[in-house]
Amino acid sequence: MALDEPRAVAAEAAAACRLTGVALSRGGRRVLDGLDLTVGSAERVALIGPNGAGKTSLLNAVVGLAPITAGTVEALGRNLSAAGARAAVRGETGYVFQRHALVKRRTVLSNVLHGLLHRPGAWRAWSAMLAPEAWRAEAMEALAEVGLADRAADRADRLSGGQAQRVAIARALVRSPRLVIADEPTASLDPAAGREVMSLFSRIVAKRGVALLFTTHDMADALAYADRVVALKGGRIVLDRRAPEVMPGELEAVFDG
Amino acid sequence: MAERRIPAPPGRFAGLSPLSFVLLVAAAALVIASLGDVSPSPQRLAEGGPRMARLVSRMLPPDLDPAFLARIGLRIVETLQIALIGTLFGVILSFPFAYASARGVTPFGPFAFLFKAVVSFARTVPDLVWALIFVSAIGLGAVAGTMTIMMDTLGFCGRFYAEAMEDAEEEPREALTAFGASRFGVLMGAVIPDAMPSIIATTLFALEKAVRSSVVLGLVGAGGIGQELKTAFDLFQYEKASTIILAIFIVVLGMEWATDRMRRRLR
Repeated sequence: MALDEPRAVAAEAAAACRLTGVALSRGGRRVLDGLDLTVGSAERVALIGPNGAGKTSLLNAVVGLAPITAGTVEALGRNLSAAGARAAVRGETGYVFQRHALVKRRTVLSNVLHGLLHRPGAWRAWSAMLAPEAWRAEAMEALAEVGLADRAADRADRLSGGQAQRVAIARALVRSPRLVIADEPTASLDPAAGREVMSLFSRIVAKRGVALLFTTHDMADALAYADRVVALKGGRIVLDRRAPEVMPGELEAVFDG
Repeated sequence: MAERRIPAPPGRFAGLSPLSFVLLVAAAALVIASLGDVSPSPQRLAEGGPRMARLVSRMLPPDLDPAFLARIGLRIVETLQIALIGTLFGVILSFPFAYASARGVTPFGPFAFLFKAVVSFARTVPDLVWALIFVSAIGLGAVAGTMTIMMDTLGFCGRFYAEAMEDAEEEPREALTAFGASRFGVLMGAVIPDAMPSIIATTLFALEKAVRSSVVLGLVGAGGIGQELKTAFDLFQYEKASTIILAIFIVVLGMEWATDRMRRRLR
């Protein structure tokens, strides 16, 4: 980051992202309705809420994948409306998707290297065959972090659902992100595998000291693996509390009525 | 509850609209009219039968003279070379066309149809017509044959490669795009790997098809074994012709067997 951006640096120290009065419409429907949210630079935030509450739209807005109609989004110290800010922010963001979204016929290592496709000279990140030695080493490191270094040469379609999602996490981590975004990372897994993946994911994010913003339908996951729980309903925040302070039944109430 | 009435089943021909009915009748009429025009009459079949038998008897036994067999062997090799190199060039040419015309992959947006049109054109012009064009343009011989196979392969592979790319899984593509991969990065990283089994199967079919069509290209002077076959028929050397036909049969069968085996090994 350039030093002639004192304000940006100050904001960066305080927050991974800061949304102010953000509104977003899709197909004539208001999906986000004047929403304020600040996520700390090393904070793990769970987004919960019924279907259609705007959780995914919020994630997309944070990295500029969805155009907002009002308000401002600042991520990693950059205002997303500024030229070039989106690409820069995305370069420092890791993504984990609902289903692993791995390329099945490629090796685990190749899939992790895909996390580096934003870098200059990225044509060498198509596959593990072409990638520079240093990049391969980085990918192995990320794989080791999720405990799958021994599966590097296996094809991605030979992994179980939980392993595949761990590879997807490694693919997000290899980018050395300062912000990790995950859209229902455990929705495609059975409860046991989901817990295992989520606890590993949360632990790594905490160890690296980066911000995590994830959506989930699982209240227990939200309470166990996040520092803070934010509940959305109808495009507004209806609850925002540190995880240990959430009262029993409070989250369930978000889904009623 | 007692009063529940079950509606009568829909009419037997309810699914057949008046338009489909008219079209069906028209098609039937066309088939019946064509039967009278071009199908062999019983009389002609009766006359043709003995003539066919006489031709076959003149073809036997096949000419197995070693010098002739050696020449046929060389021609077969040339035929296979035409098929192989024509397919290779065709495949190389097919990739950019498939990329440019595949829906959801193309960087050309609404202009993708232009590339699709070129591929369609290559496909709709029959191989013998391509051969005539190339023989006129670059002269008699194997090079014209290779060019013909190349156009044929472009028409075939260009279309099916594009379809394979269109069918590649959506999620990894979107993931790589979100990671900031370039269009080309998404193509090489996610689209091609996912489309690969289909691309290889298509390529093997193209090779098989190329061998079959390279066999007849010689009939119009574009090199290969077909040239020998035409000469044999022109000079009424039916024993030689039968040897050539047998050789062609063996080559095409061998090719089909080989590509079949390779296809079965695809996962």
